Amino acid sequence: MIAKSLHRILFISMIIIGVIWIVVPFIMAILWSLVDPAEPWTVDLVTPPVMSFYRWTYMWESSNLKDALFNSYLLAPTVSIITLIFSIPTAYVFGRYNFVGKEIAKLLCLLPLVTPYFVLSVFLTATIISFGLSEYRVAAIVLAHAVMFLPYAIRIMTVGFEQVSQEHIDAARDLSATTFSRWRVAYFPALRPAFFASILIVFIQSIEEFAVAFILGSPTFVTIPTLLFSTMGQDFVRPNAAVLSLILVVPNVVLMLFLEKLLRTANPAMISGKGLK
Amino acid sequence: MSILKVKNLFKSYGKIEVLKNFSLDIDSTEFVSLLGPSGCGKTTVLKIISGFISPDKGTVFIEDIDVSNTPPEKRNTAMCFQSYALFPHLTVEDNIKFGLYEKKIPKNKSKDLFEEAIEHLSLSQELGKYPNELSGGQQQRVALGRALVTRPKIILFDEPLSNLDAILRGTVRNEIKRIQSEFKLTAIYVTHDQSEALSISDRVLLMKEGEINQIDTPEKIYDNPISYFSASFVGISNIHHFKNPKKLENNFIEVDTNVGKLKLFYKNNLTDKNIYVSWRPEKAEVGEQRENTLFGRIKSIAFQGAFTELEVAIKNIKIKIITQKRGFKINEEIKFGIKPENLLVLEQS
Amino acid sequence: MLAKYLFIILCLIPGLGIILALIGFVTYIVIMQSIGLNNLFGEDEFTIKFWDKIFARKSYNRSVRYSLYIGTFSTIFSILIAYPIALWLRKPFRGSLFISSILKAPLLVHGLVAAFLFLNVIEYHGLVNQLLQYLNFTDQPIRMRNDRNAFGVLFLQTWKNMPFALLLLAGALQSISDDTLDAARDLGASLYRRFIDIIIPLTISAMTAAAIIIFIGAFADFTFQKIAGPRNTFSLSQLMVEYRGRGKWNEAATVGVTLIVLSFFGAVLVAFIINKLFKYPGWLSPVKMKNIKSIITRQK
Repeated sequence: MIAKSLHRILFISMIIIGVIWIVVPFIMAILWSLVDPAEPWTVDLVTPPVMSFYRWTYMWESSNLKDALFNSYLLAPTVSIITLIFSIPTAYVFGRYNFVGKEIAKLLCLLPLVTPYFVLSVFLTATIISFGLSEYRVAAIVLAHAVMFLPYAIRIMTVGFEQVSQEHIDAARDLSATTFSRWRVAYFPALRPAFFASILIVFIQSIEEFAVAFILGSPTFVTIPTLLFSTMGQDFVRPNAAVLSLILVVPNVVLMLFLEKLLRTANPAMISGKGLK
Repeated sequence: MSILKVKNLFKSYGKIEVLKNFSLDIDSTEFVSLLGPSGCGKTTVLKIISGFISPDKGTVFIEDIDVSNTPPEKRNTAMCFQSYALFPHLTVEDNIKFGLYEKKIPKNKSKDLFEEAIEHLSLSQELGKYPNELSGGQQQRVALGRALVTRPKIILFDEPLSNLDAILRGTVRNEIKRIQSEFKLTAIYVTHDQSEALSISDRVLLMKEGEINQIDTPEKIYDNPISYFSASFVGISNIHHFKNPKKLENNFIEVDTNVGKLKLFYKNNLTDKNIYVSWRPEKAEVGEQRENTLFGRIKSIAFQGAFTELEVAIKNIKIKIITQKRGFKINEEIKFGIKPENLLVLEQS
Repeated sequence: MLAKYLFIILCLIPGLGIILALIGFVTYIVIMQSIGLNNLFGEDEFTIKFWDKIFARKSYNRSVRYSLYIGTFSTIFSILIAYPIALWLRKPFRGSLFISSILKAPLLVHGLVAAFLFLNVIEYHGLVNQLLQYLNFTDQPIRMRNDRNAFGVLFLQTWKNMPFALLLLAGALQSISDDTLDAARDLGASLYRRFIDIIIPLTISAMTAAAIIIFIGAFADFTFQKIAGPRNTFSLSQLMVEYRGRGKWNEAATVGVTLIVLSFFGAVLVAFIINKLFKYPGWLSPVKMKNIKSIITRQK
């Protein structure tokens, strides 16, 4: 009886906390993004006095938003494809071979997860400058992102390769399939969810990444997070930041829901592991 | 001496009644199997005895003490789980010692108990290993050792062999039986495998839909099934629906079945529930026979070495015959008989 | 055999190889620049003067202490909040999926957005101030942003990291089978004992992984600090970026080395503490007492 009522109290308080935790802040953000400059939203008012999409059109027309969107949405797919390609050979040997030092190698692949990103970005800049490669900063951002997110891709692809059934490969071989068609028949179907999962996770990570884009990219290469950061600095214009926040969050939520749906049909270990063993 | 008494258990999950008035009495050092198809409530009985599930109604006595409200950790029973449930973070030694520590058994006594257990189970080589380094059979032995080391009043087995391959199953089964008699344990053994139950138990309790269908020694269960269910679940039986029973003299009766008239020996009075007659395939005597002679056509022959299994059709009704005779041909017509005392009257359930 | 290993090494190059190359190279540059070598501008000369200087700086020492403070408490708060919730959510019940998705939602929210949302709640025009004024607790809005004790940063770190800890811990807890817990119970283990002897030890690796990642993330934090942290103290990352901005690469490198070294030792220490505190046979367990006794007697 006590356990039951305790459970009830916990349940209700969790719902309340959840609302304060997530719903209220987002409603605030949406309201702020709709504040019309004609009349300020003062402390004594519960909702903004005048609401319009002025801020949205303003941000679109007069800030770097267009550049940032372009850069972010060009960078993320590039990074996810490159990361996937880099991860495949390593994941293949992790998933299908046994060799001395495999566990250590797997552990070393997690290194980027425990490297402070700002140290990486500041001194990657230093390295680039010292090699006289300053013009290739965007390429360096791509490379840095690839390395930072390789642990996720390798982990997901390893699980994918582990799930390819040896019997399918053998059957394909038995029917004298060439190497190419063996991959097409046995590997690819089993790996497909892993491909998508890897691309999506790296895509989201890359879109959200701040440290490298900020240090290596600024001031010329703007992404959505760096633009948002700059609006939150000295001249903090809250409605503008609200617009950018929503632009940054909404696509990610959609992508994540898509990912969740994708992974529900695939192996749950892929997300629950989150790149960690 | 009775060590476990279970009285009038009832248990339902929502609308599904899992146990209906289930009672059981077990003597010390007895080995009793609960046999039945999946979903018949046998595991529920086990979990009620161990205390993990509390019944809606009914009581459990261990050594004449009512333990119905005692939590599992305070009951003197030990369970061997189907999944073994070994603690993955503990070595074999710590797994076996776990109960000794948790039950706070004095040091010198626990040392003796531990050493005796590992000696009987020949686990002394594996003490430092972790469960994932052991084979299935070894894990089973560790689980057994962990359960018996504290000398529980009753040891409960929940389908302990189902995760082993067919070859290991026989060996481990014999081992369980040996350990049980060496340690003079009282054991309740849940299984859905009738051959396991017949070979290991002192008594077999056959369960169907939350009720005891038949409880008896393995031989009697096999030789004298009392119901359609027990005749068909334990071993193979040829079962015929019968009508128009006629009393003959000397406790013989004659009945009409779909394979013809059969004469059988039956002392008791027939009730409305007695509507089936059954016989074991090996009771058919192929060749000459004075009573209950039947003719049939052989539909399939499976030679098994020591005996041959035949499938015979009598007027489109298929029956099974096991014989040691040889030299049959498909579609050959054969004659066989069944002695009246080998024909059994069954209850409907 | 040789061919197999050659093939394996070849396959590891684009994945593991690139990781080791880049991280290794950057680490090398940081260390070298902190001792006056591999300079971007000017002569290379081995010197420890940058280290002498930086150790003498008050701001540096304050940053070290501050970053360790943020790292440690963010980790403790995140795990302390996540663990009981994960325990509660171990067995699914009606609505448990909904609760866990609400609690995990911050995983989808970018740190900067989180900071912005947080500002909306606590700033001059924030919800809290509006509420306080509405209820007549105060006439003037209270300044809560950039507070001296960095409670804002700690709040943000916990908000962002607790779901991550919850994700890992819930996974670990859900993979403990009911049979395992029932077996312990059957062998006489009370609720407390089951928690100490079975549940905690079986979640150690998840707890360690979560703690290490959270610690390093919070310890090396820049954004939350810059937006919501105290104005008079810098976090180490902030200090490093500041030095770089002023072109003082060698000083930045010393801070970078500090970050790497303390992250590494912090991670090792976190792992060590968790394993010491919680590894079977947990606190006050009879088996533990036995082990301690046997160690003592053996030493005698």
